[in-house]
Amino acid sequence: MTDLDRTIHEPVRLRIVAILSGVDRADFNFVLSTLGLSKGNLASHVDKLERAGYVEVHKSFNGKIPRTEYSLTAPGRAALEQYWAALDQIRAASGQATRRKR
Amino acid sequence: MNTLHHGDGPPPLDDPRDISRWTQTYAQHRSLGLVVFQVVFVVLALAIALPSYYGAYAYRSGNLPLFWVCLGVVVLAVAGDIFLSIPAWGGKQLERLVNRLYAKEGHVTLAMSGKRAPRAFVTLLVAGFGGCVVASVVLGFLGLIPFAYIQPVSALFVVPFLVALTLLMRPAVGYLSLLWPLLYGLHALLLLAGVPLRFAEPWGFLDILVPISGYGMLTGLIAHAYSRIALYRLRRLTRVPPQPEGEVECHD
Repeated sequence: MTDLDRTIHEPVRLRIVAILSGVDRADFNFVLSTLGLSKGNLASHVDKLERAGYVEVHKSFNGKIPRTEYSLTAPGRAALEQYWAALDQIRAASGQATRRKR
Repeated sequence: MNTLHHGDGPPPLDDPRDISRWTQTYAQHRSLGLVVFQVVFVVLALAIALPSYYGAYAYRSGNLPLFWVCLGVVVLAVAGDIFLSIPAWGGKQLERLVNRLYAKEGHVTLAMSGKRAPRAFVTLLVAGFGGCVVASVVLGFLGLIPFAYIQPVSALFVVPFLVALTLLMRPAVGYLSLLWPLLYGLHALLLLAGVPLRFAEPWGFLDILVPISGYGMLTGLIAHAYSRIALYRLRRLTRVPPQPEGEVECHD
């Protein structure tokens, strides 16, 4: 059975990468307000994803206001696709096991 | 089997890919910018059309103070149109307003497809549309297209243009955007079928303004409502209960 990527598999980080996979970029406020996390918690999880090379952090200024945006990197998208495939494998195997029990 | 739930962590997800789908749906239907643009466009169109009508009437009847007031309003409205049509001025102000409207929920960016249409095609499309607009206005002034048929005739090029625009902007916009050309075409068909959808003077200019801006605004509002549904569904899927600082590890 394929192992699940533990960096992505963590529930909060899974939600972060799933959000980012639906768009090109999402800013800090959007991810924060959608997940309802604290700022420190979100930053901690994004930091792990960034160190794994899955998320890119873009810092800019909107006038004088700092702006932070996140995007999935190409390796991040590939890792997520592998994660979905692994999940499907597990579900398929689980379905077969359930049918055998019956 | 649920592999995505851990203790006091976030609620289980049936299919986490729903998060991605609802995020994209939300991003595609953030249409307040379109609604604001249409409202401003309608206000400016009214500010040109009505004072023009009453100004001409005032001039003919010798009411010069009213004439000058009307002329002043028209000049201001035209200046407003010019201001808004320049991206560095008006476009920037509209962008700031839209950013403020969405400030509470944050921002997402969804680009158009990586497979861009050839530049020549886009240029031809825009030029063709512009040419058709000019031609229909000229033919209308010359009386070669009866005013009653201006809108149905315009549907021949407005509908394909709006459809092409939506398809070119995919996936940055959703298929709901096709509601605008659909309503515009339906309006034309109803007019041809004899349904009384015309406005009496001095509101005759609404015969074109309502289909163009009214249906655009309606489409924008429906898309905005759908984006609220998408955001609600997304937050239901992704809301994380209050957690201590640092991460919650998932243990096997």
